[in-house]
Amino acid sequence: MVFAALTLEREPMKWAELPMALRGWAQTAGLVAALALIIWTINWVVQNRMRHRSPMPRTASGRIFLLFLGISAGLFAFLGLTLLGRQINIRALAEMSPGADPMRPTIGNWLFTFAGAAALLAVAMPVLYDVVFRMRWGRIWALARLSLKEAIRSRVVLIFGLITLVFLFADWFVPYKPEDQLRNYVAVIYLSLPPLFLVTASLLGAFSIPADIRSQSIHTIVTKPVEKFEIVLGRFIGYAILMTVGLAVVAGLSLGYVVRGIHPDAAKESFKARVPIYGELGFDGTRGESVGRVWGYRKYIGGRSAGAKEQYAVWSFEDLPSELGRRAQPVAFEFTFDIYRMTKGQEDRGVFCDFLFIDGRLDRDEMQSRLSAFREDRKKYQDLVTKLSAQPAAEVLTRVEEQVKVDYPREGPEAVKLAQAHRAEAGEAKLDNLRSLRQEVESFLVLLHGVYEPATVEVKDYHTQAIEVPPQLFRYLNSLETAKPREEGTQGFRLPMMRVWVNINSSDATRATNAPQMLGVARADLYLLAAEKPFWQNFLKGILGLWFTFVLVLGIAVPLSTYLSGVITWLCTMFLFGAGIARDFVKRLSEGTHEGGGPMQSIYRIFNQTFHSGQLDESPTITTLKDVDAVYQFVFRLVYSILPDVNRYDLQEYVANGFDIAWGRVLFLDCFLPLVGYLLPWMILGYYLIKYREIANPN
Amino acid sequence: MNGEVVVETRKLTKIYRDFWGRQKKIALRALNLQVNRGEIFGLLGPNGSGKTTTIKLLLGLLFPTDGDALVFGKPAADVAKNERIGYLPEESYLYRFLNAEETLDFYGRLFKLDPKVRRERAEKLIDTVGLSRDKKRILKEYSKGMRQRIGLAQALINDPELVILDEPTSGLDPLGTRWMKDLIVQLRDQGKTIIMCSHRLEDVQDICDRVAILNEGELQELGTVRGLLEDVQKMELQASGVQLNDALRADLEQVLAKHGGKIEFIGHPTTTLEDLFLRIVAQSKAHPGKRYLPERMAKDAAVTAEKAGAAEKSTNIKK
Repeated sequence: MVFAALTLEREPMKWAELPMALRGWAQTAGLVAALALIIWTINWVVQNRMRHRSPMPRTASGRIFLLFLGISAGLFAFLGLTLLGRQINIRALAEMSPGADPMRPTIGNWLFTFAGAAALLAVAMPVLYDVVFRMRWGRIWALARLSLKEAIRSRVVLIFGLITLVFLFADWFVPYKPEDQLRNYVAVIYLSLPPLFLVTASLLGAFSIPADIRSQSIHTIVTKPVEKFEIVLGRFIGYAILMTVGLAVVAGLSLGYVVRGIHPDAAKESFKARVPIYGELGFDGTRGESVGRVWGYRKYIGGRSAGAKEQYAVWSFEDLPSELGRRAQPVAFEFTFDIYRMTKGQEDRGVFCDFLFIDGRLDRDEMQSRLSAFREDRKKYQDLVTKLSAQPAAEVLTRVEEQVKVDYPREGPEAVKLAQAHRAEAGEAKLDNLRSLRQEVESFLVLLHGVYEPATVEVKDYHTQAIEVPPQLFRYLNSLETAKPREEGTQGFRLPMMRVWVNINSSDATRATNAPQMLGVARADLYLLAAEKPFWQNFLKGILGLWFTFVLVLGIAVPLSTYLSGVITWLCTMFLFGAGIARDFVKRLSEGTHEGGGPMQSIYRIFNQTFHSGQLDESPTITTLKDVDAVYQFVFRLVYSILPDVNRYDLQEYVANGFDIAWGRVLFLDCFLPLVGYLLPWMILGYYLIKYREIANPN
Repeated sequence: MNGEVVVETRKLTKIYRDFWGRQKKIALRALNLQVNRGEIFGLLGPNGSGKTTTIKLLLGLLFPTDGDALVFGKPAADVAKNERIGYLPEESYLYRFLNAEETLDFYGRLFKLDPKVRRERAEKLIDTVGLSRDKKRILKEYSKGMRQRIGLAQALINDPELVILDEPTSGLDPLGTRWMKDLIVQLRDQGKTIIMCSHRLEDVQDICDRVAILNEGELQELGTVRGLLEDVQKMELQASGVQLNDALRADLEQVLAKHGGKIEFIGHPTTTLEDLFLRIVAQSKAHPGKRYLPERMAKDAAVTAEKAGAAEKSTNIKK
């Protein structure tokens, strides 16, 4: 089996988090817009005073702009009051100030959101008005075509040909172990393409408009009925099209390169895109141990030693698709665990683990009783099957069902009904030997008890393994969903639909070698394999991540180039992109959670040769340094808000490990929306920069 | 000219400032101008006098520091006015990777032109500016004159009411210059208003109806060319059918003395160098390999040749 665990440092955004994300965006972008409005208002008033004109707008759109400006100013002023109230302990005001927890917005948070949104609307109004009423797609398209022709005729596209060097020579450096081969090939492609496309995108985006201004070609355009922002959009769209076509061609060739070079064994295991359904990970009998690894991604459960409590890793699945219960084939759960050995154990042997798949509504005691009943019945009815094995399979099954009705007068008939419904919908199972018959009986018992316990599994370190669960378990869970909605548990959360319990087997036979071992688990280490999609689709979806990245670069470079020179624009774009890679670090600095403190503390540590993870002794100097660092935090917060989240678009992990990149949650919610949210302010900035730029001013 | 004001500037002022807002140069000072429909209006002045700045302010390429620039009654910053304007920059800053056809197609697309109209108009303009044979060549391969021609074509792609030309004859040879001047006059005759600025005074003198002379950003003179150039203290008389000799001169002096005047110069009028050049080129084209003869000498030569021809003919008859 090939190791195929999806290890993500940051989970993709969930739909439930979208409102919070939108609030955050409105607040951050709105604050920037408000600052811009203050500067603009002062300038506007001064300019009109100098020219002895009334600063009041005369058009309808101008008045709407003024309305939003007023609302925003009023709300921000009130927010300022609430913050002041918090400082001087006026309770009524302090209660309305914004809270720190974005998950639980206060009135102040909402006011902040509305103030930001109003400022954004005020800033965006003229842009929207122009886009809707003044701009013409025909002109934008003409400018986009011009950009395309320019790039093609200046032979910029030849740069894409450099990828052939990768195709020619990458094999020299790619290890040929089948289990790593696909990952390595994918890594080669995903590492080679970004420099090629990002450099091209940044150069095209940064230098085109400044070159037009310098050569004065732009004079022949802006003296036509062209809105200046149409030039920005035209350039942006033109280059985006060029890069998209280039990327599509190179991606197609790259896919061919990956596919033709792959080992058949690797192809069999890796050429897929798993569609996983993840549960939430919790623990029972432990809080999840640390084994001292620097990266605390996984937590560990241990085997049961004498007298100790059994430790479980528990995955809770909130909701599962109802179609699972209608399947004829078993439903696979895949897992990849890390084994941390406390003793040598047995050579070439894994750690034996027990898995339990069970109705999520059950509490601990109910679970135990159901499991015991399941185990007993499995033995009892399988014995019966063995006894009746001479008879036709259908008759044996009927006998078992009759017996269950007798043994369980209340639940039995319902289980039989469900089994019949399942056979009718999913088709009759092929029962041509005793083993298959016993399996069918076991599946029937799953419908009776709502629990499935497979045989003990030998888990190997960092290997992807699978357990097949009868679809009857999901039919049972579906029937419960229909009959009675899930209630909230004792902690106030909605109970999960299903739980998977995993523990290290501690039977007498394995205790000696198993008990001392530790099993490392993370949330994404176990998942329900809902479907498998073709690898090529996933590969191309991963390329979309790269597409988002170069659109991001173009989206920064083109608006900046409306004001800055080509070189400065390129440097700024590259700086933002580079700093965006380290955005999480800047976030930690802005929140003051970085180990070692802020810049001032860091300087102090350098001069005093103090280890960065150690606490500094409290003293007036340290207090002062921390206060200065608090000011830096504010600066870092501003920097953080303008840095692009570059890592978000790196989808290589999905492709390399064979996990499907979901259209909805990953590509749309986690990539596309943030990209639009990030580029929108840049485009608005570009609109104002070029609109108020004197195209012919030599300064 | 029907007196309708197409372009108007009111106290138009432009001051260039540096990044910090400090004043660097006053490019234009309180310029008041009116350009009427159907006239050729010339802006004259030395380098740095504010001609190009005025044009750029009218086109919205620069923003006024003070005052107003109105084109068709709308502020110069109004993009919609550009539907009715054609602009030829000082140098033809067109995209050199495009050919003539593509250039006109591109600029045509920036207007609300029906594709068919756009194609027809582009074809006609290429023909008008004499680039039909070179329409598939990219502009990078064009000479400066050719680029100026295609530049003019792009300025006319929207059949504008107002054509603004910045140094339209710059870089053109005398033939091209004449062609350009003729075209400008044609455009005026079609009812278009032309604003042009030029260093070449003779061009302005030849074709402009009115001129404004600027120096160091200030308007020095404004009026019709004739009105500005006319010296009312002097008189010019042109006569034909008589030979200039002492008797005639004496008679003229006598007449003028009677009215209190005197002759300051009397002689034969000269043509312009441009006219002479054009005649030479035209004759050279008509009779390749033959050296140019001035008109008078050509007449004598023709008479001689005629006589020689007649003599030869009579000899032949005799034979």
